[in-house]
Amino acid sequence: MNQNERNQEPLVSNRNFGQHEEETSPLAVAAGSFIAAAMDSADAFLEILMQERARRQEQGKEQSRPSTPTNEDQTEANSQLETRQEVGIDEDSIPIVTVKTNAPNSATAAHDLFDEDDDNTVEVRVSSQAPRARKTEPRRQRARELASALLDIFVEQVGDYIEHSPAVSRVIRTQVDNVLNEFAAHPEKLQPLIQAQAAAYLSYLQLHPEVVEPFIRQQAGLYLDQLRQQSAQVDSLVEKIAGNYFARLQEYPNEVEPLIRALASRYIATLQSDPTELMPLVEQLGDNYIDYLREHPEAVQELIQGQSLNLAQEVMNDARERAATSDTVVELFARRLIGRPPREELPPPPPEVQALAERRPLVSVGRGKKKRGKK
Amino acid sequence: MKAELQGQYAGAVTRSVAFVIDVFIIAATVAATSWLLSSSLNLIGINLTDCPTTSSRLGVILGYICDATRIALAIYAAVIAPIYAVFFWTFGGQTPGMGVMGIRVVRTDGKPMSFFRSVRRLIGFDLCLLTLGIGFLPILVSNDREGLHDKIAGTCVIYAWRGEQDVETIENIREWARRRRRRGVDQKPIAN
Repeated sequence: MNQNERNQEPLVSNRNFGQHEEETSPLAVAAGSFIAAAMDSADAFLEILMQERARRQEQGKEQSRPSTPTNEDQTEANSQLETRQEVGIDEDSIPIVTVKTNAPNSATAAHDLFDEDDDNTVEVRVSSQAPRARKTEPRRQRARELASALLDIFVEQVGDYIEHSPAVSRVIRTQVDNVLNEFAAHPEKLQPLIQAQAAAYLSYLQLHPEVVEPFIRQQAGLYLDQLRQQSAQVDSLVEKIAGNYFARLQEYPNEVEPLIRALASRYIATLQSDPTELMPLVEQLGDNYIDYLREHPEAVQELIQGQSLNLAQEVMNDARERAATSDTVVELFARRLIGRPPREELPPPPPEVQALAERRPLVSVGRGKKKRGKK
Repeated sequence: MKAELQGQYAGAVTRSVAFVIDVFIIAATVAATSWLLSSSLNLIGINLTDCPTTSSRLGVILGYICDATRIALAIYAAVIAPIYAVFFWTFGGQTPGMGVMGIRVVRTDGKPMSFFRSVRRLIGFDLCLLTLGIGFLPILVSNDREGLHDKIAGTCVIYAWRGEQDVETIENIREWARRRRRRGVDQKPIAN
């Protein structure tokens, strides 16, 4: 196969990789196709490398000639110079390129070849009738482009094959099924993976809440719509959950109380900071409460009675306490009047008498019966 | 600082206040009954303050009714107080006034009050009144705060409510009394 024939053919042959899938296993077909494509690509790449090698050998022969400076020498010399180009047009509309350089030897070299205006300036006039220089690309760059195109085609072919091949999809499906079965049989293997991924994802979401916010809003909207449609079921569910929740809270009053206090104080502070929000709420609640009291006056009556009784009880206890204190004080003065020393401590009554203070003593009917019996 | 009162002997002031409340209740009851009776009799032309003395048959009948009512009211006024006291002491150990002040009459042997015990206490109470209150003085000075009527009936009065006493005030007054006493001793001239 010569060069022209090779160029006319695609670098990677367009084979139908799924042709033999019914004869052999899909994995084997896929592997065979892949290897064939890779070998074609390797052939083409090797040929490019051979060409590049031959070109370098030729270039090496040219460099070995002493009279002509090599491109590398020229590049090295140019790198030591500081040059400045100015482009202009002369009277005959011919473009002038003026090159100024600071190299000391450039003046003599230029003097030999071109006219010069000062020591370090070379003017080049280009005629419009002069043949244009043909742009040539370096061979190395061409080889790179060729290799890049080759690689692109190769990747595209492989991608097409993977995308359209039923064998590959079947292999993937089989592997996925195996993995899923494995995870179903051993969920503990999946757990650390999920936890790690979830932790990473959550930390990402914490840093970028704007990512998740629209999603949450959308989901919440959908969920709320659904809840509105099934309000009866939701009510019963909420009642049940609230009942369970309150029952659990009642078991731990010490833990709940600080929480409620903190929440209440925060809520009160919020309402105090913005009383305009509070007023409609108070008005609505007040109206509701007044309506309720109008419908159930017995609650108010009980409340007032309870308050009145409490007040009366409080006044009575206060009077009792003052009287009890006065008992001792009056005794003090009475004893002083009759010349007795003040009593330090009143002796307590016998325990059986003290016990009568607790319970309500009833009339003894036993004694009367005894007397009657004696009679 | 407070001291428990329940089960301790009740003092003179508390008992006096309870007595005053009882007297007020009895007086109010007698007054209300009298007013009801006189108002009712006024409807048929009988004035209890001025009984009719006409010689007509109706006048004589009305005069009898008026006199009988007067006598009944007098007996009622005289009997209601003892009945009131004996009834409440026997059933519950406290009159309404004692209930307000949170005290109770109990027997010193720890048994419940009986009717006869209440009657004995009432007799002793009347004796104390007849001696112009001298029988009540032991309440102020004795260690068990018992009056003559309590001694006669074998009863005592205790605090029945779960109350407390203001010990700080009492201590201040006691301290003041001690200082006065010391000052009195210092001012006395030394004999010899």
